[in-house]
Amino acid sequence: MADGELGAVFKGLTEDADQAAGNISESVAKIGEQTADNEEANLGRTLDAEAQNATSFSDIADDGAPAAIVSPAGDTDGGFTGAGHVSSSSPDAEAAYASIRQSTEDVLSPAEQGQFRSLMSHEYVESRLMESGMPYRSADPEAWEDGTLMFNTSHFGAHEVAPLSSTGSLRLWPKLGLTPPDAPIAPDLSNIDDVVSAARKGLTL
Amino acid sequence: MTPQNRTAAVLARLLAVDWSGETSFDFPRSRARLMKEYLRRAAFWARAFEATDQWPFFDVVASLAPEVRTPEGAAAELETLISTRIGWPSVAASARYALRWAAVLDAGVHVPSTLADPFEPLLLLFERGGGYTTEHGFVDLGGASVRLLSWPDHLADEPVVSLDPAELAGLDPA
Repeated sequence: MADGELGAVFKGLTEDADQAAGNISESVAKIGEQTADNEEANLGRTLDAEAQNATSFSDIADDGAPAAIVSPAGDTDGGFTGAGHVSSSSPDAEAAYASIRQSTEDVLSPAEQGQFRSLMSHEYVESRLMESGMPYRSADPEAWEDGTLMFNTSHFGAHEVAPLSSTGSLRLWPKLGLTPPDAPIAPDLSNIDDVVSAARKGLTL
Repeated sequence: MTPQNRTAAVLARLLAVDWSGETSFDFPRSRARLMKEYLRRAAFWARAFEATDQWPFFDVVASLAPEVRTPEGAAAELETLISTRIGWPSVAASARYALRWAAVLDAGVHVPSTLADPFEPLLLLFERGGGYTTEHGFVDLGGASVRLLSWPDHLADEPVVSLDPAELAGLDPA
């Protein structure tokens, strides 16, 4: 992702929300939906690749665990979850937000601002770790119960290491044996790469 | 319950939820099973009202009784809650749907006896650690992630879990 795109979006949100204008929540929802769509598209590519190796995400073992949940080899878009999406949607979101500010009177609610920030920090870190070769989530049978993936401190993936998409918190890190950066994540995510670096160091990626 | 009681009760439950997500990891198994039970019930509703394109999180009242609206006062209180504490669009929408469902019950609308209350599992889930997020074919609940399959895959005659509080409490670590 080009440096500054994500930061620009958040500066727009955090600095202007009190005076702007617009149902920016629609923009946030759109980004969330695009994330899912993008991930589904990427999952399709993953399935294609895995089918060639006679495996498939839909090959569910008796314990409910998928046969594989890994980053597709050769995917240069930054992993199959968020990086490509974030990179492509940030300029759109920024433009949409600017347009909304100019034309309407609604603002992003405090809860929506926090959610947007959490989602973006999650997607960014998750995809960066996948670029480093970390699986999206664990396919180890010990992490699965009746088709449900349970949080497991021995078997986890980039999704669990990334800031929580719900809150942006790194609260799981101590349980995963990781040490968070000294400084908290900045409101505009300008230091988000410190989280990536700390994770890579702790995971020896 | 007297008219308006269900709406008021559901609103009170939503207002009392810890939406911070801080406690979601305390209830991994019960939250996972409650989400699966919601997905199961919602799949039956979606099939019955030809709303499968809207499944899993959708407004069943829009099909059942579109004339029923959430009382203005309760709706306004919920919007205040949403604007300050609920950021995930799907969770905010589900809270609105659950409140409107309660308004339908208060209005005495006939509900097909073959279809179970769609939102009680979701309300119980909210009360056990807050909302959820969705990503890449999963519904992420904090300490557990449920796989979101297609709606027919979630059709099952047998409930996934009892909604009895004691049984739910027994599912999670002490």
